[in-house]
This record gives sequence, C-alpha cells and structure tokens, in this order.
Amino acid sequence: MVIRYRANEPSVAAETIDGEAVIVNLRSGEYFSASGSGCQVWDWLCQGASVEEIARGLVARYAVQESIAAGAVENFVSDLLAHELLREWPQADPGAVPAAVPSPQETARSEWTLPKLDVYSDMKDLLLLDPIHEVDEAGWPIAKQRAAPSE
Amino acid sequence: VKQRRLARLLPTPQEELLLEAALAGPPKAGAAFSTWLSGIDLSAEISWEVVRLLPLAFHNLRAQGVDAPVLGRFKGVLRRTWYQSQRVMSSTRPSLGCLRAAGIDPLVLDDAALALGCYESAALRPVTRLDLLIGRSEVGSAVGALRRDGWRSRSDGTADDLRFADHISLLGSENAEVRLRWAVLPGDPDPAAARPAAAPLVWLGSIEGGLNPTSQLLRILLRRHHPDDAPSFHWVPDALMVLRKNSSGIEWSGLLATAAAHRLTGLLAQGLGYLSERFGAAIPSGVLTSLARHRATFMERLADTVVVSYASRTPSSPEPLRVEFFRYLERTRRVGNPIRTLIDFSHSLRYRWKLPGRREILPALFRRWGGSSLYFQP
Repeated sequence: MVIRYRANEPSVAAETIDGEAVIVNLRSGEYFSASGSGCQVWDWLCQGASVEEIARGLVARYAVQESIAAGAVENFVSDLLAHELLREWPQADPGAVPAAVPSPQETARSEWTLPKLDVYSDMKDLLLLDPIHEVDEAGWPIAKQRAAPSE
Repeated sequence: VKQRRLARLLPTPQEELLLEAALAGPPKAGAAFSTWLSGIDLSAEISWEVVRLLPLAFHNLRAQGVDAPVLGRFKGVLRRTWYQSQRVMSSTRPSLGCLRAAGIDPLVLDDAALALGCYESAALRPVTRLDLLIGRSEVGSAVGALRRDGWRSRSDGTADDLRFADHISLLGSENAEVRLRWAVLPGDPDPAAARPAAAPLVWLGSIEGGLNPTSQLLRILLRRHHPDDAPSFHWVPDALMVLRKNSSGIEWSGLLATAAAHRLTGLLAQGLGYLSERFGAAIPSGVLTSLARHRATFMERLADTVVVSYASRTPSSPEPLRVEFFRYLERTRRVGNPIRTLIDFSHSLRYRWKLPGRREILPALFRRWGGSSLYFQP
C-alpha cells in the first residue's frame, strides 16, 4: 500500500528558503532545518509523494542507488514523524505521482548527501543570540564557536 | 508638495542604499548593496530598523545571484525573523476564533496582513503582533471575550478608550500581543457600519479576512507621521509590496478621495511620488499628475513639525505637548471653537496621562517637564 504524507498543519509551519527547508513545530517551539537532499525530500513529501517515488526522484537527481536512497528517505520520514512535523495523508490518491518528482532520466546527477534533519530545541538560548554579532558566517541559529546542533 | 516639506519622512541616503539592495532589480541592487556595505560597520551596534530589512535584502540579492560571505549572517536574520514571526502568529491566532465565537468578525491588518498577503512570507516581513479591525460598538464585548480566554488588558473598551485612543492592546501567553483597532485611519466611520472590503489571507491552510489592498496602502502611506510610530523608512517596502502584489487591485479614485477627506493628500503625493521615481512603482500617470498639483495642508505642515520634535526626542523623555496636541487633532480632525477644543484636549491629556481628573494636569505638566512644556518646548 502506498503511504502519502503532508505537513502536520496547523501545528507545523514550514518554508523553503534559499535551498533550505525551515520548519517549526508550533506546539513544542522546536525549530528544524533540512538542506541539500533533505530540503528536496521535504518538498516532495509535502506534495504527497511516497517514499518509493521520492527514492526514484533522488536517483534521478543524485549519484545514488535506489535502495540506499529509499533507506535514507525512510529514516528521514521517521525523524519527521517522531517530531510530529509530518502526518499520513490517507485521503490522497495513491496513484497520483506528484509532477514535481522527476523521472529517472530527467536531470544530471549530483553528489549524494543524506537527507538530514537538524533539530534546535534550546530556543530560549538561541533567541538571545544577537543574529548579527554572535553568529558565524552560517548565520543564526549557529552561534560563534558553537558545536554542531543537538539532535 | 515642496521638497522641504515632510522631508524627514523620506529615507536617508544610507537607508536608501539598503532599500535598493532589498527592492531594486539587477544590477542596481547589487551595486547599492556593495556601497551600503562599505559604509557600515557590522561589528558595531546596528539598529532594529536596519536589521529588520536584512531578510528582504538577502532574498532579493540571492535571487539576483549576488554572493558575499556576509549574506550568510543575513540569512540567519531571515531564519530568526521567520521563526519569531511564526511564534507570534501562532500565539495570537486563537484570538480570531475567540472573537468569532463572540459574534465578531475581525479583519486582519498591518504586520500579519502584509507578511501573508503581500510579502507571502513571514521571513521577509517581521510580524510582531496581530492587529485586528473591529467595530467601535464591538470593542467592549471583544475585550470581554478575549479576557475570558486568558488575554490580559488594562483597558475595558470604555467610551474614553474609544474617544481618546486608537487601539486596545491585549497580552497573551509569551507576551503575544493583539491590538484591537476600530478605524483604518483616524476619524473613519465605524467599521461595524461601513466595513472595509476584505481580501482573503491564506494562513496555515485556512482563509482569513485581511484588509483590502487600497485601505492597507492608505494606512501605510498616511500614518508615516503618526506619533505612535517613530519615523521609519519601512513604509517604503510595505507600500511597494502592496503595489507589486495588487498592481490592478488598487482603487485609485477611492484612494485619492480618502486622502483628501483626511486632508493628507500631501503625504500621499510624497509617498507615491517617491515610490514611482525611486523604485518604478506602477502608479497611473493620471494619479501622479493629479497629486503633483496638491499643496501641503495645515495638518501636513503640522505633521512635519511634530515629526521633527518626535524624531529628536530620546526614548526616556516624555512626549512634547505639541505631539500630544497633534495626536489629538489628528484623531478628532476638528479645530472649531477654541474653548471647546481646549476643554476636549484637556480630557484627552487626562486620559492619556492616566490622571484621576483634569485638575491634575497642571501638576503633571510640572512633574514632567518642570513647567517648560507650558511654552510648548519640545
């Protein structure tokens, strides 16, 4: 059975900004970010694509085998579900492949990166950061001399 | 309108560079950005007025392929703006349902209406509170309904509130703020009797009613001098976004008539002229020609004077008396019998300074300024 998903509105707000999906769980206040293939996968998921369709789309875009891509997407979806950012969409037409997902021959393939969800849960501290002076070149919420975000 | 009139309502050259970086097309935006960057010390303190425009600058420059290491930090400002705006909108949105349950149908205006309806992103236009337009007769019951829902307010929506203020503020969890307003512009008819047209706003998958673009444009352009808001150049992107998003949806004749009725055509002329000249805003030539013939009114000249004094005051100093008087005039739009005006103004001061009676005004004046304000010294 094909499972399709959608963003867990209205508890979740999301936007794609300069190749990065930024997501907030409005109930918990947690902030999330997914860039690279993660941004692409989030976009396709929100358009109703299944894991299998997304894996095929990733194969068209990235130098990766379909089984590896499918496993990575499953893990990514598990993360999204665990943080209540995504929910299943039983009303979706199981046969309707979203047009945005490319067919395997469509595009040049670029280097594969795992879809990864960065989680920022210490928002009280992060909001105290001066977004100009206390961040590095990557910008808020990455503080100067700060370790990788907690997951 | 002569250039020297209302000149302080226009952006400074440095602000103009940042506005061009945020709003102009290639190659003007990139060139303006380089010049702006060379003239600013990013390690020094940067005003909120500048910081809040950085997301739009980032968005515009990136779309034009401009790249610079500092843009990473601008993107960070954009991320934070988006997050904070989402939190504010999420915290304040339940007030809409609460008011509807009380039989009140509010219109969303200002921050949220602009972010959702014109910028189409809460990352590009900060949302700091939710402003709602309701009828004057609905204010008391709206405050009551929101209080029962956990919102806190110092005002009850009394006759004095309606007479001497233009909004009532309510605070909710995390200090989220909802402002109930009962006029698009001071002196407008009661929205309950003459409700402005609504424009649909898509908000987290639902449709809400937002203020129509013509009224929103008027509100942006004709409130630039408002004493409640420090002079700011952010009217430029706001007005430009309304025009770009609704190029064919502005009712120009209604816009001109409303500005004339408020005796603020000069403000409109200056604002639209600037947007057309500097940013190529799509404004019909007939409108610009008609506005070019206008001469500044008394209220506009007074606004110019008031803005000067207001802009130069420090945040901790009390408002000059002339600002109070301007605020009163703008709200009542009436200078009739001088005795009656003076009495009415004294009631306004009593309300605004939260005094038990008008006999306390003179002592309050001395307490505030040591008596110097009696001479209307700013």
